Amino acid sequence: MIPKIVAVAAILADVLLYVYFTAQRLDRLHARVDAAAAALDAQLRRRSATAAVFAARVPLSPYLALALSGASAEATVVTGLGHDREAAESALSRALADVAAAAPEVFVAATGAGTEMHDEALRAAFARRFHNDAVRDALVVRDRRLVRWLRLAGSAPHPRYFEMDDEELPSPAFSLALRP
Amino acid sequence: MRVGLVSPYPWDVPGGVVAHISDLAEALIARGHDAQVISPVDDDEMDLPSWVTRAGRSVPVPYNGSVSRLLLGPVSQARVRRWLHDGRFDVLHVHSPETFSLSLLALGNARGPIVATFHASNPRSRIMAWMQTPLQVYLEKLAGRIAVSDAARKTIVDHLGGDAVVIPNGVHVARYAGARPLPGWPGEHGAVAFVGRLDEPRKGLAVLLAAWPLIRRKRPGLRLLVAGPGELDADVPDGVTVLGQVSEADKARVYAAADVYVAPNTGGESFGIVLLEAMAAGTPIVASDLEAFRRVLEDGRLGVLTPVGDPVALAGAVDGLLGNADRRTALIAAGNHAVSRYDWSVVTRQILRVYETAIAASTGRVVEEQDGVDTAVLGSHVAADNVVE
Repeated sequence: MIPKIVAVAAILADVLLYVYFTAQRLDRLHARVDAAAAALDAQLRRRSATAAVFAARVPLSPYLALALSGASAEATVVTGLGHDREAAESALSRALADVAAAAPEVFVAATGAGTEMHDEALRAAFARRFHNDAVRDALVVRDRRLVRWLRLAGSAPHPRYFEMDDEELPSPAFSLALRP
Repeated sequence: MRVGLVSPYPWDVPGGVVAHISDLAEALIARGHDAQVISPVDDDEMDLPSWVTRAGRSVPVPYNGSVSRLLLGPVSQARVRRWLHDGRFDVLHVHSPETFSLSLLALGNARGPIVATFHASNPRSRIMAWMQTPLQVYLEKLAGRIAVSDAARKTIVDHLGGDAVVIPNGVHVARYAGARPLPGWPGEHGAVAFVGRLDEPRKGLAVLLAAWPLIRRKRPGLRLLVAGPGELDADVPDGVTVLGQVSEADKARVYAAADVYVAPNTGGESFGIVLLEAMAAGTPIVASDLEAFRRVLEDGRLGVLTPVGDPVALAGAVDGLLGNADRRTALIAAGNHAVSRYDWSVVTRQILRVYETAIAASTGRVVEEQDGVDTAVLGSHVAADNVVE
């Protein structure tokens, strides 16, 4: 009789430990998703603000300048990280890609607005990748059967990937002068 | 910015990962950042740069035909925690955390903005599969992940779960471009060069030595310059000069000493830094048709690709390139242009953007984990990893 009680207690202790550690782990994962989402949102804001300045400051054809400033203005007004934001940010990425295709030299200049634009676009691409990594890590744990049955995720909202176009822009110049 | 870098492999054993960390630290310091490295060091007498901290000695473990070096133990843990405490880092950058090494120990003992670079293209093993769940808990602490190549990124996606941004290995282009050939080389009959571990079969020196008599039959005066650590377990054939391990400065001069650089590797390469070094030195390349090499050489646009492990084909390719001066000139020009995007100035800039992004997505700076992972726990999970550069 006693061994049976011991066995049951041991199993119960195991389950409790699992629940305890998994709940803690989920807490950490949700915190990481929130922080990554806030960072992504802030970085996308910076990118669109920089694009507006870039469109005004860099010599571009009227069509490209208008398309870029229009796309950055639209990206600026959308909030949250939902489908409409994805569409607006993708449109901004495409406007930047059009500039890169027509006038790659504006990004390749070693200093100035082109470099700044390149940096902000790169940070935005990294922020999106790291955000989606955080979402994926959280979803893997949330989707476990025991986690769903026991509702270990609590009231934390279901994390969502953020999808957008973010093709890399031409790199700023490295110092070719160093080469003989 | 204060950056803490963690090396999984001993500082005094030459290898691609250690070289990468050393170059990155120097590039960060040159840009005015404060970079610190903690690394296993086997030789207690060795002079270290002021920014390198010793974590203790590594323990060699034979594994899968190669020697892995592990570093685990309470001494290392205490040193890592002290280093984290004293360093007050804005960001912690661990290298190859999927290996059971100092990197994983640091990851287990730190909290805050942490990023990792994955160097290997094949960390999968039975032990890795068994360890995946415990490992996952550690990797979840990473705010950002970097892969050094598409192959390394694919490994993360397939085997570790998750994704990474690709930032290639860097090369100090100017250091190689300015190198003069070793005195007396290449000589009037020309020379070819090989750089890499002599006794690591995957570096493919055996394939080149098998091809050597075939090449020499057509070009009797040709010489072969071999540089790299390790023992050659065969007699040195006619026309071959074995230098053994050389300094970084001399390595650049080895590339410059040759009319053609040969990379006969048979596998295990996730990147191919030797190809970038040869390109930077202005030496045209004949390389094995490995996935990683094909990418760096842009499907043959930047170098001649030959079937893997085929001495006859290799001999033909080397002879063909030596006999075609126009092709060599064209490859040198294309290589010079292509290698510039791998220059450390470009790569460091991208890595700094990763740091900034990770810091923005974390709260506070790097601190020691309160209930840090005990080395005993980590020790019970010990798995050997292959040292693949």
